[in-house]
Amino acid sequence: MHNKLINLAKKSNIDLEINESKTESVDIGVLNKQEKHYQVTKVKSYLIKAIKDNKCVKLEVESLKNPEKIISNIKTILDIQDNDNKNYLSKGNISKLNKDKDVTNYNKVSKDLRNLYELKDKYPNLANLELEYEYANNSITIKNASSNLKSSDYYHVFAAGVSVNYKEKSKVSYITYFAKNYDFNGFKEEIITSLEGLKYKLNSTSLKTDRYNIIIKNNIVADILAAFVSMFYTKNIMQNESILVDKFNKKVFSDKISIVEEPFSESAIYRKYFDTEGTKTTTKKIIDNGVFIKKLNNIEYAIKSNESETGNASGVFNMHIVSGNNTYDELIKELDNGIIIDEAMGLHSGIDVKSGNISIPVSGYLVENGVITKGVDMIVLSTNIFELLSNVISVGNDMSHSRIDVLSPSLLLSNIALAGGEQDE
Amino acid sequence: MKRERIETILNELVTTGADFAEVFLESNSTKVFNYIDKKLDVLTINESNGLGLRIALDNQEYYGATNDFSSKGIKDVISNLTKNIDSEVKYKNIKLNRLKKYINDTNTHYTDADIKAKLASIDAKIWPKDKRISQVNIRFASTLQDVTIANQTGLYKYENRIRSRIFIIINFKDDDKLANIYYSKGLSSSADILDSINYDEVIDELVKEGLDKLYAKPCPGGVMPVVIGPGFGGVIFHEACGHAMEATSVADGMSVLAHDLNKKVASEIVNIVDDGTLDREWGSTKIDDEGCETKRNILIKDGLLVGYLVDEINTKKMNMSVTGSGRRESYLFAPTSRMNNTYLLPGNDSFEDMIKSIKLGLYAKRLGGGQVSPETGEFNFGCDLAYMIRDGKIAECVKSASLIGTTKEILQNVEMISNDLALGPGMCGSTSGSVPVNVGEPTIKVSSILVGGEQSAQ
Repeated sequence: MHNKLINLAKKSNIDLEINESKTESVDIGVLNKQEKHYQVTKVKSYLIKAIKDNKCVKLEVESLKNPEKIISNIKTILDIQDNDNKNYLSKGNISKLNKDKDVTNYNKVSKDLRNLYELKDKYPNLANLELEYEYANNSITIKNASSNLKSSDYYHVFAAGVSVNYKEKSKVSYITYFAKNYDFNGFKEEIITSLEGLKYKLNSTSLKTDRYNIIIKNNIVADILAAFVSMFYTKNIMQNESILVDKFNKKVFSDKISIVEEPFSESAIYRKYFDTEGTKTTTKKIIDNGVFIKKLNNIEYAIKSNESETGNASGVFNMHIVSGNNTYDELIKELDNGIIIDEAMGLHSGIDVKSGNISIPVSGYLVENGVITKGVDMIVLSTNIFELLSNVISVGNDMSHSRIDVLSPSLLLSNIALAGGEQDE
Repeated sequence: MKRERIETILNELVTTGADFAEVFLESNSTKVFNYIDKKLDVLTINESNGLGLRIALDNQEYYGATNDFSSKGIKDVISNLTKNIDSEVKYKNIKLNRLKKYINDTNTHYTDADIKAKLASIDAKIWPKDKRISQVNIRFASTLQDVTIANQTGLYKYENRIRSRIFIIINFKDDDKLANIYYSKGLSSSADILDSINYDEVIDELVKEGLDKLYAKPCPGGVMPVVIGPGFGGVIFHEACGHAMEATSVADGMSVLAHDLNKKVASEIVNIVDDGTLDREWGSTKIDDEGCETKRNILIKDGLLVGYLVDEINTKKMNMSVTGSGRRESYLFAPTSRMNNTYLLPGNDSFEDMIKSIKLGLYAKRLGGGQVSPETGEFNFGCDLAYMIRDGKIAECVKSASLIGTTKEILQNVEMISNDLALGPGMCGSTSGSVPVNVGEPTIKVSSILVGGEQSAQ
């Protein structure tokens, strides 16, 4: 069917390549001691790139059974789209098939998850443990006359909603934990850490609106940075949609901040060897000691900006703030007096990527004399991405596990605004 | 897929002894026009076509999703599901009812070229309005979704759905100051939606508001009274109580409102409805994604919680009837109870009286999206456009205002409700994926909410 579509396209002088992606996943959900759901997913999808007369069209379909319709849609788009978006088909040969040597035993997974509720013996305030596990395997093939690209990789991901009750109060903490292997013990440790923290959070109070020294936990920094990834893209800079317009080769963050992307590093949980256009992914430094030194692009915008391709047509993988030297506990001691933020909500609505403004509800702990003394909640982090990554005192060495596209260590920051409900006396 | 094949699949699913078995077939075609830099930058046409198989047995749900329609592909999914069910093999002979079709009008007088010309004309109106406009982005998307649903009771239904939505986004820049503002309209309608907008009025308001945002001051933080504008301001109820009234969290006791049926949870002037039957509205469908006809569900009446949103699987747990609220993003997801068009009913207070009544507070003219933890009732939403209220008058525009609270507090603190009810389209994310919803309200005054800001309120 691939060849039928490619040959049909040739008759209309259209060069065409097909990116075939196969995803298989198993998902298990458990609430307390009971398995709630089990889902198996097997899907195949195709990203078709068609080029004619210096114009390029991309379509996503799930079936190639109607090639005439696909060609008709391509022609419709070619006729109407204004963009002179020169492009070319992929080249070269890559074969990187990462296969999971272990076969996941889903009965064991379900049992492991259900047994976690036994933590209630040690943590009697534990009310509910809502757990999810997913194993996903993705393989991609791109073929045309000049290329033969194949890759596959997999990951395990655990998620939890941990809720505790005490008298009339309840608190919930959320965890997402990605791993290359079935790291159930790593996930269990995260839940135990969460339960220890929730003891303080049951006695949370708000704060006075003011500026504080704060630690933002690794997973929250990763989520915030992920929301702003589009600012690094050549396309958004050229279209005046990025806050980094006119800031290339300029200092934009603290010199303690360097950001790199290592899509196929051995340490990456999920590896990407080429993007959806077949361009090889590359290891790159994007921010070097606070200076913006590398824009991200796809083929279209590499050509438009006369820059080399970076292989980021399908986003970023294993992009992270470079680790510092301090453990999380050392950051707390260094903070001495301030606030730790370890939960955040509403990033999709509280982050404005076009202005850089951040206004999100958060919660965490009060630190006094280097020790956590109680929980804080009903507070809002009010800042801007430039301020957030400029007011850096120290960078931790505790890389997050909550995402596979963007990762981060915890950061110790100075003088960041937090709004709270406590009034001035 | 032919009826006989669906029957064969259902019969295989029920050999597990399942008390519920369902086949969901979906085909979807989405066209997106992206107009930026004064040209049609990208037109995409994406299509998907897949199958979801669901079994429920003893409060447990098994789901398989695939777009491989071959016999082997479907057999593979069924075998993967059923191998996990350890119960006596039972045979039934399911015969489906006559296919009941629910048809929506998908006709439009717009060709693709007409749509492009329309976006170009809107774009051309905007640029000359102010030199500080740095970018204009207009996006128009139209989706055709065909669903066929069959289950072990013999239910066999089909609906063709169409939705269209336009976004107009304007960026402003003055030296290092940046701001953006947007307008959005979405309906369960064809591209004819483009004829229903007064673009001159919309654009003039967007430019005025965008320039206000460009020079907005940092929002002061603290607890204060807040007036929330109509339409998308209704996200406050979507987040504050809507999710907490979905069986998804109520059935397992994971909602802050799980034990409050027939109890007073809100101020007496609060009446909230979720209605999936509103003609052509963004969140409406004729049947839900379990094949149940959608309904107008009264959730809160005169401050009392009188209903929940209930899907097929949770009816047994909750001993309540289905409410036509079973929804899913696509065949990739099992459905669960979700909102459709959720709104606060109008009152009689005036906007002017609300403003006059406040010495120091916030006028949240437009809200952004939000998020909730149904178990604790803690929620938040961002303000897209807000002004301080000082001494009974609307004052300076402020930026980065964020409102947070808890479900029960906010419902009790609704003090005044106007009569200018409007609905606003959005996308809601939950365990069954992202679904189109409307939120809505008239202008309201809430006596106190925590407002996120950069300095103490003064």
